[in-house]
Amino acid sequence: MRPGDPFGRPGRLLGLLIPLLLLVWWQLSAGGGGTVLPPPSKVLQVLLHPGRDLLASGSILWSVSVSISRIVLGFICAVAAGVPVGLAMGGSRFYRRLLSVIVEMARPLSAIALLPLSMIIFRGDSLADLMGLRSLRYGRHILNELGLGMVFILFWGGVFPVILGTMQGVRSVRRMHLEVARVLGASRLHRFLHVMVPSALPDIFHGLRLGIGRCWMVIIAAEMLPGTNSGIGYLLRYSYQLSRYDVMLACVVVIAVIGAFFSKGLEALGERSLLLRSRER
Amino acid sequence: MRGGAALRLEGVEKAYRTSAGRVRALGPVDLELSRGRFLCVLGPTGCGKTTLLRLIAGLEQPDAGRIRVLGGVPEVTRRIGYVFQQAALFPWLTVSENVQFPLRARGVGSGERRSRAAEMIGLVGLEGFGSSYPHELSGGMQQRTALARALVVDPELLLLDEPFGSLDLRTGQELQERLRDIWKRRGSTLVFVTHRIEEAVYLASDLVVLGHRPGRVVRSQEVDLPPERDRLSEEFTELLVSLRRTFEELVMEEGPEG
Repeated sequence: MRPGDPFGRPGRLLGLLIPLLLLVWWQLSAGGGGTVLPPPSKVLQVLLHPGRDLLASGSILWSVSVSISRIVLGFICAVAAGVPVGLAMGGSRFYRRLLSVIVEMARPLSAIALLPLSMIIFRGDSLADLMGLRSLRYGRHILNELGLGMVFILFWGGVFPVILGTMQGVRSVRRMHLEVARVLGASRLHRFLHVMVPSALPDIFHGLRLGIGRCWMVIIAAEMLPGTNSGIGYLLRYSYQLSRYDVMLACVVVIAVIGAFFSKGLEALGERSLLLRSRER
Repeated sequence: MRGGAALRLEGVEKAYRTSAGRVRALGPVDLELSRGRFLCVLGPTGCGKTTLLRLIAGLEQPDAGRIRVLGGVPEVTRRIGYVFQQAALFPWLTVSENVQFPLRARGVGSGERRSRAAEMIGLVGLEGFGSSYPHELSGGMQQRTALARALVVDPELLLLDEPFGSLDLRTGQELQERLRDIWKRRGSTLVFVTHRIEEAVYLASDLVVLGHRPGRVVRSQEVDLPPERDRLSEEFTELLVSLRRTFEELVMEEGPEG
């Protein structure tokens, strides 16, 4: 039995049992038809064939690939900008003062609120347009679905946790370690790369986790708004409009699973560095 | 480059600003040390011993006076090694990688780095622990690693700030022996700060006692004991008692709170 887990295994099993019973009850009561929501077995049917284009607007698999591609692109931009900015803010008082004003003003502005503005600025252009691939315009190609406006709000949603996590990481570097590195003959650059960055890594990963979680929430909401006709969020809304609740619920399940997957994946990556630092002393 | 002064301090003073106002930590202190000597700076807690080392290392600047280290002004140079009171190992690196750190900072190739680190790890008695992480080690093993890390670049001047202060008696004595061996073999100059009289008597070729608030030299002498020191010999205990007396006088003079 681990600490912080007072019931141990039985507790976990009990925790699983309650949702399972709920599913069974739902199956039994909806199984005969006549209810608004379809039984879980029908949702499962949809989930078992993710490649089927049920509503003539793209399969679940296609929609998920579109959403994930958008996130990956937006999140890469967020990390590429957020980590250097966070490092600068953590490492220099000048940059911290300069940039914290901007960050603190921009941060509370919800990414979703920026969607219309972002659509206007980027005129509905996609990555395909940016790359000069106009021929793709009317086909169903993934590059065509990567709207720059969408990517921008994902960047917006993800960048602030990354900045703050990185800054926190740099600021929590122990002075003792920097001093030791200095007397051991490490140059400024060497101290930065071999002391500062490794010390900051756990906090940076924490920021990345929060950032990608935010991105996932932003993308679902953004795709549900008018002006978009692809992505898992879109499929969720469209299936609702067509009253295809089996597809709608399948989308909900997929969204939950992928969100958990993102978070757990980054957690596993950050685990090693976190463990090492927390065991110190 | 042997002979000549490794260290010369003239009227060195240092004060710190605290919430209670300016506190004089050190000085004025005069001190001279030839190359190849082993100086122990003895003094009660809070007498400015650490400040003295930090000034010599160039980590801090004196408010008054002059310091010459290895013929130049004190600065953080690669010719000086420093072992801190806490081992201060990098927790994300293994023992071997920690020891390699100063070599890596100097751009030494990985093959040579590894072999020199292995040699140092042997020298401090840590064979077989090269791939362990600091959190897997005891305090004594961590301090051994820190010592190996400071010694791996063979510094001309090695500064040690109560490095064995938190260790049990046996580990402490073993490391004292190893340190004396290393000093005798390498002929580098060592400045070792401690508040343990016996440790200082065992190690030092030169002894300085600092009194506190502000730290100043109250006693300074060469240690006239044979190179192989017997902790139970008459001369050893005699010096021990005499230093103890100096300490007692300090305490009487300063009052219980110092």
